[in-house]
Order: sequence, then structure tokens, then C-alpha cells
Amino acid sequence: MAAYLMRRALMLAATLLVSSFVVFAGLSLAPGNPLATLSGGRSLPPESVAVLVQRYHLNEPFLVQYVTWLGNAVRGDLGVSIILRQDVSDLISSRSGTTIALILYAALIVLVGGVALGLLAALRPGIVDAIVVMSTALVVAVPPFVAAIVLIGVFAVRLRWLPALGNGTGLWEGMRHLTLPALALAAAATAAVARVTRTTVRQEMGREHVQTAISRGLPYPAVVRRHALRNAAVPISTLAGMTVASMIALAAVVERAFSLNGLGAYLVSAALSKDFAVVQGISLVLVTAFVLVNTLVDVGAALLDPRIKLGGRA
Amino acid sequence: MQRVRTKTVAATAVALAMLAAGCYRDNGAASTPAPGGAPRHDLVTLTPAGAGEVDSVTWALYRGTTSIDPITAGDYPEITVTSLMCESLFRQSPDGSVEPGLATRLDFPDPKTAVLTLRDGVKFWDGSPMTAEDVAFSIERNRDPKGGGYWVPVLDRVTSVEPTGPRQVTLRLKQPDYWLRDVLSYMPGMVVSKRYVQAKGKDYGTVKGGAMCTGSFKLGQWRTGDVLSVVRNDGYWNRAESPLVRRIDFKGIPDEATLTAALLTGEVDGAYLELPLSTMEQIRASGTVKVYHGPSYLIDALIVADMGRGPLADPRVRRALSLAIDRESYIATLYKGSAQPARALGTPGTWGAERQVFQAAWDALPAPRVDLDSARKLVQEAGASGKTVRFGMSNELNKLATEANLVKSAAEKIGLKAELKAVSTDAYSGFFLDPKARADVDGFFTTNYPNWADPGALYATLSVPGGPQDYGRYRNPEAASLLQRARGSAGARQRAEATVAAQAIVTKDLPWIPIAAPDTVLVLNAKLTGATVSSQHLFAPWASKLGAVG
Repeated sequence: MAAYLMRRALMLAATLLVSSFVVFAGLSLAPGNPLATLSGGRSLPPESVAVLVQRYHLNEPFLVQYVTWLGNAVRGDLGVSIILRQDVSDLISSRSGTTIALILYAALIVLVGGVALGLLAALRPGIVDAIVVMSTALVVAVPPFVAAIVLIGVFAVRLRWLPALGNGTGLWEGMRHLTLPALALAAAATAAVARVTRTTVRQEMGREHVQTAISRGLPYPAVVRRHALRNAAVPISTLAGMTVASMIALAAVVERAFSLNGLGAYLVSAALSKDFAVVQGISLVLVTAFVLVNTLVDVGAALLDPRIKLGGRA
Repeated sequence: MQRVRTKTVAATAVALAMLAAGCYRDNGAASTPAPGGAPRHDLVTLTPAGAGEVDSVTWALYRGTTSIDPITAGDYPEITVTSLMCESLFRQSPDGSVEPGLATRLDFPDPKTAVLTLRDGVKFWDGSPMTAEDVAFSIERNRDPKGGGYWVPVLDRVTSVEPTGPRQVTLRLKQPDYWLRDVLSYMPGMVVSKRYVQAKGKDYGTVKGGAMCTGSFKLGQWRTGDVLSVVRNDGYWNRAESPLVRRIDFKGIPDEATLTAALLTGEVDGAYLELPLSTMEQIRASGTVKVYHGPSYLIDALIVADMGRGPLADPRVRRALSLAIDRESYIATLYKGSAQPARALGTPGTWGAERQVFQAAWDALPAPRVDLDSARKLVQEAGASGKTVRFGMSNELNKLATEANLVKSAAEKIGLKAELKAVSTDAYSGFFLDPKARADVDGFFTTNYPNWADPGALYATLSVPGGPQDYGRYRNPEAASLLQRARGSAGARQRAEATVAAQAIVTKDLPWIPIAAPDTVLVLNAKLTGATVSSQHLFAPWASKLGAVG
């Protein structure tokens, strides 16, 4: 286990190095210039341009800029946003709470909602099953930004139950503001998890050891919990883990749609304004989070199923 | 100057180009009836003054504010906010006229000397009095190229700024400059506290450094990406204009659907819609908000990328293209009626002074109408039939896509071949900043405006060689010298006359093809009233009368 985690950590470092280089190179190659955003696209007098170019080292060769950034980043200094003139680490830490809360909230919906719906469908064949299968087939195809528009239209504009935008202050208001975004983010994943749960649980229920347990008169809920669900847990948790990891990227879309002050929305706006240090900083955080979630899923699967060995050569 | 800004439905960023000099549209309620076009809305410059106090108001911007330092405030989210907090030496009023502000007079004892007389009793938010030192310092900051400010070019005739008395500041000029009063009526004329700015250094105007001005609102909480609040300055020096609203929270909302929902649910109380909103009909139908239309300095135009290259180098082809553009359908499709077809770049909203002169000159220009037969003839005469014109555009912005396709179909109707070069919104700003990007197209689109209500301020940027918007290298010595003469004339009448003479030439030469003049569109919660409805909201306090409906 320790060796496995060590290897994972080394892989994470290598991934971060490569991704930071790719992101930096991509941004450098793309047309445009942070001065355009800085000036609102205004044409600046040449002297002002010269001053700004020098202040932000925009005329240095790409590799020099990258190495300078990397050197500072290794020492924990992620640099300063050109557009907002604030430390990138401050900008990231003030926004990460929103994104973490959003993803956790959505993950909770995916796990609880998806497994519950899947179980319901698996154990209640007939009309309930048909409804779940049909509705999840529909929802699984709905991308988060469409879900966002529908949810805002119905629950914020029409029914006025929940707010349409912003973060809200305090625990209760914060939860209320995050509910629609979390639902938008979780909708398709919940449907997917429900479908996988239904299939695997049904499969398990039909297997010999489960049938034997039932025929021996063990209490039904215990059979479902200990025999069917336990065995179905590996595929379900793997899928759930992957969808949570993908939410790290999808959060950008949802944050933008709901005007949430999160990392994803900020990454988009920083990339559009070519705010290098910010894009790099957020990318590092997101890549790290992605690798960590995947590691957790692997470790989780190994704990659930002793037959799975960590670090086995694939 | 020009600005590139963007607001998009789903993407973000920047996209229209605007300008550096300044202007307005006015006229109380008159609007031009359109023959067979979309319904026109009556224009108002003011909404009825608010009657009751309001605790807090939430206001939407197309993105979050990045700076509140006047020298680096150039795009809507910066200037809309900064103009509530910081006051300038002269003040633009909603109808485009310029009134005394922190200065009471600007006198020219001789053509190369300008003397500002400052108002007594003006206090910064911290209670310290505004001095001649503060004023001279504030103007000098704008002139300093090392400061990285955006307004260096508009002060290029000033050679020195000195406090010459407790209430007096003297500016020396290398050439007479009678646009100076108007230049000091927006960001370049805003006064900041010298002591405070020196203490904060480079952090001034950011979250770290804050700001120190004299206005009726002061900076409250500012969390970038979330909210910037301005709160009422209870020690405001001018009690008569103390606001009714205690706090305004500004939020950046880039997404059209989100903004629409927020306005309909009342989570956002108001917004100026600088770019047309495709959900306008839904907003107009709602009882939660009211929509007001007012005059504006804005003009949508096609910029010829190079006056010496391609089919558009021939004035007959430019004229033909202008004759073929269906402005009515552009206005109906994109603006849902909230724009006017433009005869020239200096539209009625920019006539802040000498209106009769500008009106007469405007009436003398041909009304824009589609005339495909004449247009085809012109193209044939020029021998341009079958030649290809390329227009730069971005599909990420609804406005640019609509405009480009409209012009493309106009070009095709008159025997030209047309291509669209689509780029990202970010790369679109390259057309304004980079001659190499312009070399790739024959024309690109802008939403432009002068910074005060004078068409000359706009014409000069594109007609005077080396001007801030000299994109296509338009050279007409007569137009340039008329505009220089306008700037150097002491009398308002002579300035206006020189300007309309230049306008006649520019409108014939068409270095830019005027398309439409968008209205200022204000969406305001029905419980509120009092915000101004003109381009003035970009340059001067616009919320002094904002309050609850009585």
C-alpha cells in the first residue's frame, strides 16, 4: 500500500509538470494578449504598452517565462494575477470553497440519489422499474448546462423556490444557493449511477448465493445489503468516482451558468483574458484534485474487494 | 480610444471596439420613426427621481470589475462603477451637455494656457479637503506614460500642470486645445487623493489598495469574482445630491440566461445592457422589471481594414456596400428595435452642444436606405464584380455573427464575393491591436463611441493620422485639418461647424461604414426608479436619484 501511494505521488508530480508545461505552451501559442483585457481592448499609447509589457514580462521568450514561473511555483509562489493584481494563491483559496462544496453536494446527490433509484428499480420490477429506466434514459443525456437552464427556468423563475444565482452567505443560504447548481451538475451522473446500480443489483440478486440466502429465510433487507449491494458496490463506486472526477471539470460550466464564484468559472475567464499565472495555478489544483480522487477510488475498490490488488502492473 | 469588449451568451470575453474621444446622444423623447422597420421605442434620458430610501440594490455588469483606478478604467464594468465613486472636474449630464463639477470654471487667458478654478468645500471620503495639489497630481497621473494609464493620448497637448493657488490649477498647452474641458469631464478629469495614492502606490485601485475619491458613494466590500459594493458616503460634500440608496452591490454575470433569470426573479435589480440581449422580449413581458431606452454615444460600424488594399480600397465599392446593408433588418433582428439606422458615425446621441448645427448637417446627409441597383452599378463601375471581400468576425458573439452575416449577404447581392474569417473573441481584439491581424481581412466590426458628446472627438480618432483608431490608414488632409481646427477653436459654434464639414468628408469617404446607433437600454426593477438612461452612466454619477418608487 505504501509503495503504491508513493508511486502515485511520483506520478502526480510528473503529471503536474507535464500539464503545467502544456497549459503554459497552449496559452502562449493562442492568439491574443493579456493587455487586451487589461485595457478593455482599448488601443494604448506605445509608451504605456512598453511599460505594461515590461511590468508583466510579456516580451520574454516563452521558455524563460515558463522556467521563471516554475521556479517560483516550486517555492510556493504562484505569482500575481495580471488582471486583478492579487496573489494567485489568495484568489484560488477564496474560490476553492465554493467549488469543493458544489462537488461534494453533487457527489452526495449522485451517490444517495443514484443508488436509491437504482435499488428501487432493481427490487420493484414493473411500473416503478419502467419509470426509473425511462426517466434515467432521458436525464443521462442531458448535459449540465442544459440542466442548469431548465432548473433555473422551473425552480427559480417559475416557482421561485430557490435562488438563480450567486453564493449566498451562511450555511443555510449557502445550501439554498448551491442546490440548483448541484442538481444540474449531478443530474446526468445520478441517472448513470442509477442505471448501473439497477443492472448490477439485479444481476447479483439472481446469483446462486443470494437465491440460497433468500431461500434459507434470511431477512430480505439483510440479503440485499450484505450480499447483493456489497458485491455491486465495486462497479457502482468506480462509476461514481469517475463521475465525481469528471465533475471537477464540469463544475466550470455550472458555476458560470449560476454565476458562482468558483474555481472553474474563474479558470474560464482567466483563460479568456490570458491571465497566465491564474490559469496555471487553477490547473495545478484541478489536476491534483483529479489524480487524488482517482487514487481514492482505486484504494476504495481494493478495500471493498480483496481480490483487487493495488499497484498490480497493468 | 477603442475598446474591445465582450459579453457573450455562453462564452465570455471581449469584443466590441470602442473609442477614445467621447460623446452622447440626447433629445428628450423624440425618436425617429422607422419606415416599415421594427417598432421604435421612445427615448428618455431620465427615469422619474426615486422617492424613498432603499437599503441595498444589486446591479449586474457583464463581468466583474477589475480596477477602480480612473487611469486604468476603460471598459464598462470599470467605468460604470468608478463613475459612481469618483467625481471629475467637469460633469457630463444625461443630455450630453457638460457642467461644472469639482472645478467651477476653465478659463483660457491665452490660447496656450488653461486655468482651472476649483470648487470650495469638496472633501474626500476620509474628510480631508480636496486641494489644488490633489487636482494637479490627478491630471499628471493620467499624462504619465509610465503609469500605464489609458488616457495619455487625450491629454497630448498638455505640457505641464501646476497648482498656482489654493483653488487654482494652471495647465500649459503646446497647441490650443478647446476640447480640454470635455476631456476633464470623465476618467482623465477624476480627482483622487494624492496622499492616499502615494501611500498605496501600485496597489491603488485594486482590492489591496482600495480607492480615495470625493463621490457620494464610497468603496465597501470588494471580493473579486463575487461582489463589489459601493456604500453611501454620509459625509458627502454636496448634501443636495446625497443618494437614496445605502448600498449597491455589483455582480459580474456573463451569461445571458442567468442575467435574464436574475432580473425576472428580482435577484438583480438593474443593469445597463451594453450588448443586445436575445431574451429581450421575455424581459419586456415581465412585470418585475421595466425597460427604458435612452440616447447613447454608441455606433455600430464596419471598419475598413486597409484603405489602400482590396476591393474596399475603392470608394465606390465602400459606397455600394453601405447602400446594400439592410439596417432595418439588422436592428429588428439583433436589437429588437432598440437602435436607430445611422447616417453618419456621429449620431444624434453625441450632439452635446450646438445641436442645430449638427441637426442641419445630419438632415443634409442621405437617409440610409437599401438601393441595390445603384450599388450594383457602382461595383461594376469600379470593376470589382466577382472580387472577394473578407470580413473578420467571431461566432462566439451573437452581435458580431449577426452583423457579419448581414454585411456578407449585402456584399453578395451587389456582385462581390464575400468570406467570413471567424476567430475567437479573444483573437478578435487582435484586429484592433495588431496590424498583422488586420492584414488578413478587408473589414471588421466595431461598437464605438466618443467619451463625451461631440462627434468630432470620434472623427478625430480615425481621421487624424496616427490617431488612436487609425486602423485602415485613412488619409484625407482636409478632414484631418478641419478636425484639428475644431479642437483649436475657442467658439463652440466654430468647433461644431468645422466638425460637420469634416463629417461630410468622412461620411463620403467611408473609412468606416456606419450601420446603426444602439440605444442605451436600462432594465430596472419596477420597485425602483431614478437611474439615468444615456451614455452618461459610463462617465458621471448615474445613481444619485435612484430610489424606491413613491
